[in-house]
Amino acid sequence: MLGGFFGRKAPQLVDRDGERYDVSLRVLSRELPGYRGVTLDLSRSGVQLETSGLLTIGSEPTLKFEFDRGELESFECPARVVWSRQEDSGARKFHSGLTFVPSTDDEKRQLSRMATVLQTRSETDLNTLLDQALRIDPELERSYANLSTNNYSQYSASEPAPPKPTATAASASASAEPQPSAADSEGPVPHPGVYMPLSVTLEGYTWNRASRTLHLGIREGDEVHSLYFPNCQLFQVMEPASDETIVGLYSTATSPATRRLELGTEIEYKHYRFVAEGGKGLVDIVSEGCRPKI
Amino acid sequence: MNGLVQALFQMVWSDNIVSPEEVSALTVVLRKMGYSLPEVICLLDENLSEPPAEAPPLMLDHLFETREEQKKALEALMTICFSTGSIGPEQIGFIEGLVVRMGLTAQELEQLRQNAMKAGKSC
Repeated sequence: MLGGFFGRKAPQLVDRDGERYDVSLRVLSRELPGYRGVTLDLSRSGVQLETSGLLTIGSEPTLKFEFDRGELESFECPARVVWSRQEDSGARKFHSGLTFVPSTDDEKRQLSRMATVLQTRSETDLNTLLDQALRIDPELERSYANLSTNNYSQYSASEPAPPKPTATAASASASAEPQPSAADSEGPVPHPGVYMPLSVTLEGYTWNRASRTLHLGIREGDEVHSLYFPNCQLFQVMEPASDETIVGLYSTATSPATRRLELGTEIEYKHYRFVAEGGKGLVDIVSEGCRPKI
Repeated sequence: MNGLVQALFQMVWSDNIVSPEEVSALTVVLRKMGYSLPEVICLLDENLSEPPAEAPPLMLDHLFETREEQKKALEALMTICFSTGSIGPEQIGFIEGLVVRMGLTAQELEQLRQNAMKAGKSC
């Protein structure tokens, strides 16, 4: 359970006083470089800190731990620097090991309390935490009904029909099929591409003959955005495309058109289809991966 | 690509299924992070149209210095998690380490979950 809780490794024993827990907390101190550090691990007897500078071995900074949580209040405790080193040459990351040197009963009690809370926390896991959250508000139970079950609706979309792989900007009517759909398929198709929901209109386009780059202007509210399609091999626009709202963009690397174009080349093409409500194809583009700028 | 964005895509792929709800939630989260529409389209296209190469999970709590930043990152991840209405075991595994190292209480986790659910509903 401990290993599961901390994800990657079980706590390591560091001394007779208890175990060391990987926990990330902010620590403040006037004696620390930049006046602060972050715990890398913490035990009842000491702490490993990451700071922006080396600490002086033997010095005794007073550390203020910020717990920001219910079970523990922030508290201060003096600690002695046992070792300190730069973690990566060039990086401003320094790790130091410090031993707590509590001088008052209150400091000792706080350390003991902290160790107990960390211990308790190490014996639970995320599901338990979520269960605890349920008890905070039992009305939420329904929303957890599917916890730990994987009932995603499978995304699957048919491949776009093969548009003619010619580099024309003619207003040939884009095929109304296929229609990217989130739920119209019987079985999952492995990674057929991605369908991105949009709500834009086509503002216009420009074509750079020399670089074969297509620039598409798409309007979203009052703003017009640019999308660039380098090495564009196909551009088909359905005539009323500019009047219709584009509700999504389907992208795949495995359409018949891309496969045909990729034959004998190293270039990887993508087939994009901007679609209207109902899945009607408005604009078809085959190019290398689109870019937000050139 | 920044660490959080990388983690968001890792989260979406954690169960090898990219659901439409996750794509919608990711779009909203990325726009809130300040990415323009074309940038979001290109990020989604680049990272979701094909499964990614194996990559080690990111230590998000090491990427973000302050607890508030860590919480924001976790909330973004949970928005993706809960976008389908449920959270899968692979996704639990993905955020478990982060939740635990942050030492969240059940109350804090519940608050983040509620925020994430609200954000998810608006997607």
